[in-house]
Amino acid sequence: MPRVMKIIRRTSSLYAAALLLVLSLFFASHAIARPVVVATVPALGQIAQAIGGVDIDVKIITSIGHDPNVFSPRPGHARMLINADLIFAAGFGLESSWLPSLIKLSGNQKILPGSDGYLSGGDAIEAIGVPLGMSSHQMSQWSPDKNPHWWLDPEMGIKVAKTLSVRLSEVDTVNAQRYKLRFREFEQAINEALPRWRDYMKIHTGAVITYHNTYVYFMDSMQIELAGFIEPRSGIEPSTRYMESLLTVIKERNVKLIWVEPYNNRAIAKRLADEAGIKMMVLPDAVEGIGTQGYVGMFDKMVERIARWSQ
Amino acid sequence: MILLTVLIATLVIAVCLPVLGQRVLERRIVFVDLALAQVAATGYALGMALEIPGVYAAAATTAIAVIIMALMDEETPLPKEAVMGGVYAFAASVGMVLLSLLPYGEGQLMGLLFGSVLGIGWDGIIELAIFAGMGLLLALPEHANSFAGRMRFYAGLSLIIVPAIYAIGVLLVFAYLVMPALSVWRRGHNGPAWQALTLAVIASTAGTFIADFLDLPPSATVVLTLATIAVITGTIIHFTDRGNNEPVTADDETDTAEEDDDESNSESDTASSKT
Repeated sequence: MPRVMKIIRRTSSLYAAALLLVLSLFFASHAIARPVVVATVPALGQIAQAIGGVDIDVKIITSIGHDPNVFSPRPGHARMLINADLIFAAGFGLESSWLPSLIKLSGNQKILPGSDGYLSGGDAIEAIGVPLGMSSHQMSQWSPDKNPHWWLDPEMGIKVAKTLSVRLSEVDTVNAQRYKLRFREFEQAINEALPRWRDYMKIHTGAVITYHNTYVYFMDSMQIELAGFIEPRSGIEPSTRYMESLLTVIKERNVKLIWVEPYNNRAIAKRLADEAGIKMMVLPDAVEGIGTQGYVGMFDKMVERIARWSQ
Repeated sequence: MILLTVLIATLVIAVCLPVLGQRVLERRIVFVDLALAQVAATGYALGMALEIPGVYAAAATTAIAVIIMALMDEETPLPKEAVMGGVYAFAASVGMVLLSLLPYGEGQLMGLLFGSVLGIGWDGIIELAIFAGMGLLLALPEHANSFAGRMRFYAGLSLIIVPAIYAIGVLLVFAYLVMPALSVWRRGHNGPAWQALTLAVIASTAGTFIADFLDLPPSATVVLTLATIAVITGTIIHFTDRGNNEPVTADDETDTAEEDDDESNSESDTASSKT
C-alpha cells in the first residue's frame, strides 16, 4: 500500500511540474505577444499599421468597398475582438449600428467604449459641421449627424495617429519609443505629399457635387469647393424639385464632376450627370496597401482619379 | 427635365403592371415579383463571384427559377404563396452569403435591387417599355395549365418585373402590381381591368406632381397617392357592390379571368379552353 501511495505522490508531483511548465510557457508567450489592434475600416487599419509596424498585430473588420454604416458582422468578427487589446474606430456614429453589440458579444472587457482599449476619432479631433459654400436650402437638408469620415483628411489622419501612438505606448510601454518614431515618419510622409496633392487639386477641379457627405473632409483639406449633395439625408430619396435645383446649381457654379462613393446608387448620380451634360466618377474611400504606403496611396489614387476625370 | 422622365416612367408601369397584377392576384402568387427580383440579384452576385458578366448570370438564375416555378401545377395543393416566399428567402440568403465573401460586391448588388425612379433616363424608359411589352405579350394571353403554358407566363412575368425593379425599385413595382388590382377586386374575383388601369394612371400623375410640389421623395409619394386612391376606390366599389350576389360575369371582369368564377366546371372547361 505505501508503495502505491508513493507512486501516486510521484506522479502527482510530475503532473504539478508539467502544469507549472505549461503555465509558465503560457504567461511567457503572453508577455511577448504583440498587442492586437482591431480597426473598423481599412484606412484606419493602415494608420494603425503605420504607427504599430512590426510591434502590433492589426486586424481590420470591414473590407474595401463595404459601406461601414450598414455593415452586418459575422461570428468571426466577434472572435476577432476576443483577444484585442485596442479597438480603433472612426467614431462619430459611423459604426454605431453594429460595433457596440459586437464588442459585447466578444465579452472582451478591455475594449469597452470609454475604456483605455477603445480609441475613436472623437478622442483626437472635432467632427466638422456644415461645410462652407452651401446655400441655406442645402443647409436645411444637411444631415445633423456629425461627419465621421475624418480619415479622408490627411491632417486629421495625423492628429488621430498621434493619439493612437500615445495610446499604443500605454498598452505596450516597452516599445513606446518605436511608436513615437513611426508616428514622426508617418507625419513626415504625409506632410511631404500634401502640397503636391493640393497643387494638383487646385489646377484640376472646380466646384463639385457629391452623393453623400463622405468626401467633405477630403474637400476641406484639398480646398475643393462643394456645390451640393445628391442625397443630403442618407437613405432618403431626393425629390424631383431638389434634383432640378441641383441642375441649376451645376449651371450657375460651373460644376464639371459628380463624385459617388463605391457603395452608393450610381443610377441617380448618372442621371443627373447625363441631364446636365457633365461627368460622374466613383471615388474610393480606401485602397489596397499596408501602413503608410496604403494610406498615402489612397490620396494618390483619389487625386490622380479626380485629375484624370476633370480633364 | 427630371420631373418629366419620372412622370413617364411611373406612367409606363401604371399601364403595364395593374393588368399583370390581376393575373398574379388571381393565381395568389403575389410574392412572385420579390422572389424573381431576388433570384436575379443573387444571380448577379454569383456572376461577380465566378467572374462572368453579372447580367448573364442573373438571366441564367432567373431562367432556372422560372423553370422551377413552372413545374408547379396551378391547381397544386401546395400553398403557392408560401413556395414563392420560400424562394425569396432562400435567394436572399444565398445573396447575402455571397455578398459577405465579395469585398466589392455590396454597392453593385444594392444598386441592382434598389433602382430608383430618379435614376432612369429616356433610354432607360424605352428599355423598360420594350421589356414590358415583350413580357405582356407572353404573360397576358391565356395559357394552358401545362409546363409550356406556365413557362410562358412566368417568363413573361420575369421579363417585366426584373427590369422594372432594376430600373425603378422594388417599392413602386410591388405597389403597382398589387394595389390597383386589389382595389377593384370584388366578390373574390378580379374587377374590370380598365378600372385598375385608370386609377393607376391617375395615381402616377397626381403622385409625381404632389411629390414635386411638396418637395418629397417621388417613389414613396407616388405609392402613398396610389394607396389613397386605391382605398377610396375599393371602399366605393365595396358599398355599391354590396347587394350584388351574382357571380362576377364576363362584362364585369376581364375575359381571361372568366373561367375562374365558375368553380364547378372549371376542371374540364379550362382544360379545353386554354390551349
